[in-house]
Amino acid sequence: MTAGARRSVRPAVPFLLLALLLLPLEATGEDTLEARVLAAKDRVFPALVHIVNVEEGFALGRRQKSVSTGSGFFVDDLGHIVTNYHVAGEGKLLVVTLASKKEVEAKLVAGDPYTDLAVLRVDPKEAFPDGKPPFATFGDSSRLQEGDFVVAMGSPLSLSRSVSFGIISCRERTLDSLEVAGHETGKYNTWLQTDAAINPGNSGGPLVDLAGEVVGVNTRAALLANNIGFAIPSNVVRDVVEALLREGRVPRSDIGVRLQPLGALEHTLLASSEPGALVAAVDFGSPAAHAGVMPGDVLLALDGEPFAARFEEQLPGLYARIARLKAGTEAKLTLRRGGERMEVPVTPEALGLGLGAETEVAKWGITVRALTPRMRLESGLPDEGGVLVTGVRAGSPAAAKLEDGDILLVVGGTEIRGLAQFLEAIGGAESPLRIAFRRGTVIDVTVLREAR
Amino acid sequence: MRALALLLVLGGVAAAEDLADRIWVVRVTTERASFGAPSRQTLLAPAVPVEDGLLLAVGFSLEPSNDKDEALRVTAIDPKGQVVGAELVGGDDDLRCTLFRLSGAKPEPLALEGVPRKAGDEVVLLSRHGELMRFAPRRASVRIDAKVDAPRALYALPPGSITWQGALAMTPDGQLVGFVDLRPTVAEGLGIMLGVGAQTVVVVPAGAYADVPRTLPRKDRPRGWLGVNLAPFDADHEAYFGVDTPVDGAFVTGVAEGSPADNAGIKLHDVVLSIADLPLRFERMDDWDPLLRAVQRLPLGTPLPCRVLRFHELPDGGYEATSLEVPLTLSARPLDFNDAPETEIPGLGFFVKPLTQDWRRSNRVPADADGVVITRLERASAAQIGGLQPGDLVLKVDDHVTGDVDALRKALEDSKSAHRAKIVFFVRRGAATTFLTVQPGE
Repeated sequence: MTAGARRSVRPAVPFLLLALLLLPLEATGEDTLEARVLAAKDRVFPALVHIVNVEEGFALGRRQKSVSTGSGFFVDDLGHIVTNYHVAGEGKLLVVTLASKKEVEAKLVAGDPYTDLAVLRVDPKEAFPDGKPPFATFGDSSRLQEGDFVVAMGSPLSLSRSVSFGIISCRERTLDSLEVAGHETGKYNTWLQTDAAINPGNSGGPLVDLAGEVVGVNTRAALLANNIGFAIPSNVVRDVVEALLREGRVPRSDIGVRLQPLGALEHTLLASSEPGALVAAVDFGSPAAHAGVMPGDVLLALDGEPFAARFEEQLPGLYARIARLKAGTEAKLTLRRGGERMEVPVTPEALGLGLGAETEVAKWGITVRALTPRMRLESGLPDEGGVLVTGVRAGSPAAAKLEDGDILLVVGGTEIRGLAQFLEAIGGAESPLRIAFRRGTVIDVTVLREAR
Repeated sequence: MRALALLLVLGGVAAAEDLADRIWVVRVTTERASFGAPSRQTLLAPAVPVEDGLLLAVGFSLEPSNDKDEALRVTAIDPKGQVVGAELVGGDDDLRCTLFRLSGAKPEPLALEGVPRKAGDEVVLLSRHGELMRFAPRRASVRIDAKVDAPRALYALPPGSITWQGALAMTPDGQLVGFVDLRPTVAEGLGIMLGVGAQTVVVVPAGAYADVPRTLPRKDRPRGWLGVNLAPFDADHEAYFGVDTPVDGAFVTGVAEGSPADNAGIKLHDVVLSIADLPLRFERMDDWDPLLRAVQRLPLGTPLPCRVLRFHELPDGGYEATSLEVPLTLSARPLDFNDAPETEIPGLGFFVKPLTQDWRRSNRVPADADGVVITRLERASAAQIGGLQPGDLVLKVDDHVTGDVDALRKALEDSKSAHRAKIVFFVRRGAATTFLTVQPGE
């Protein structure tokens, strides 16, 4: 039951007038705002956790550990916890503090940087006396409206088990240029904006409606602002979590187009009489490029279903539809080019990783990252193989010879095609190690000598 | 009368007056915007007419700049005190001199031949003194302290002559000797590097400047280039290729497509041992400068035979080197983005430059994309409100491809005459393209 003692209405005549005045507040009993907030909090609070994550990163040319904290909540009685990818998605050692203040170790199950979500798991038998974690249930985020009351829970600034309260300020916000681990986060979803206080550490915690259902995962807050926080809508979270639990990743397809809404182009030469979405860019070598799609084309339908965005907020839905296409299976694009309407077949490919894996080569004092097609595309690098230097350790054999951003092309006489092959080539290499590398437009060579 | 005057000139007495009548003054104003208020600096210097309607001023070197924070305003004042328009053409750091082009005046050039002098000789310094906008001739007589011969003849003057920087030095009978300037301490192997050690006031013989009008890299004339990236061939390079005796040369770390080096057959990772008789002492990256300057001074078409060392990989992973001669011919360097002319697009409030090869390379623009580059936008202009940014490559305006500045102008005129409420710009920004709409003002 709800917390706090509550007086019932006593029908005493001398107090009738006063009682009548109090009626709207008192007579509704359980329906007072405070009561509803308390009820909502009580439904989710036991499922709330505080997460401490010892993360492995690479800086200054070496493997380094750092600690970050965030929030999360149980979503089933098997011990699965939902949080943000940026809290725990690349965690090595995860410790969660339960609502009972008990600390248990958690394991990373899977993560999705594109939506900034991750799933962890604790052993329910270890964590709970009855082996049954209390868990939160998801509500339907599509039914939210601006003004709906919401409660945010989590560990702002590591102050665990904090609750704040506010309203939905905007139900579909798009945010530009967010990146989590090198991925375009938010491309496939809009965000809920709330004025419930969200601070660093709230990340991964639940945003709960007054029915006590999770309608969002608190993820971001605007800096230098008051009470502008953003949460991932629960409908997105539910789909992503299901996919992560089912197959360990969210399968997505890509055709390599960047879209723009048509609204801004009204009263211009490109204005379209039909609803559609403008192709702003076509990635080099992408399925759309192979299909002959060009910037300036207006997409009208995808597999016969209307495909249109008049406003920015509609784009994530369109990208999500492209992502749901089956990779390798031909899809049909209907588009208009100039006055002409045409249909083109396009074969989507699986969405690639934004950033390649990173690792340390301790002997030579460098950290390197695999180059993905996306990285090459974005930095305009020629397709010539190589691995990217991400750091050089001071005083190491590579110091003053290699720099961040260099691309190692030849190592010990072996042309580098990828990270695994690079590690193999450098693993057996002896001093002096001959290296050819690209630095901007220059291709130079050098020799690394092992310290004695 | 005429015959008498001629006699006097031949006698050299009137020549001094003649030289005084040949001295112009250049006034260079640099403007720098600082916190919204322009701050100005003005330099006044004597200058003499040389060939081709150019003025030569000694004692400083100014390079034409595209930096809009430091806009240059140049005027020249002729020997009669009349103001004439002028523009900066180029500067030479070695000789510390600057060339200006006069607009609408082509005074008779002064022959840049200096009469040789020796220590103890008297020289007359001649300049024009700027006071209350009156530029009266002034002169002084000094004796040469010493004559120095390396690397070129210089005549050291008493230290008090420093106020005469840029002035002409002539013999007492009015023949030109040279120009007054500062040089580092006179010593064996005198360096030309400015600001190293103590300064000595010297006369640099006029002959030293004789080639400047023809050889100075000038903004208004194409410069030569080699089209290679060079780096010192250091111990690491030697170790990489297994070279056991030190090699004196420059390592090729890049060859621009279609450049003289490319046409001559110079390859990536060759070692350039010599380029004709140009200075190729490559120990630090700074050593690039003398070579660059030397190259820019040569006329286009100059044959520059190069000797290069080429490494061939052997089956065992080692390298074998062969030395070969390659025939390189200097050709015009493609226009640099910095030197490219900037055009204002009035009405919309932005400025563009043509897409140059170097901009294309450094911004990795694909070969099939053509456009013009936005360099800056006026605050709150239609273009800025529409979302255009500096660095955007404008590919299309409405349905017109904007391959060059004229095409952009034409496209905007068409949009204007079609009375469209909004103009669509298709731009490349970073690796992606995007459409932006600009609403022209009234």
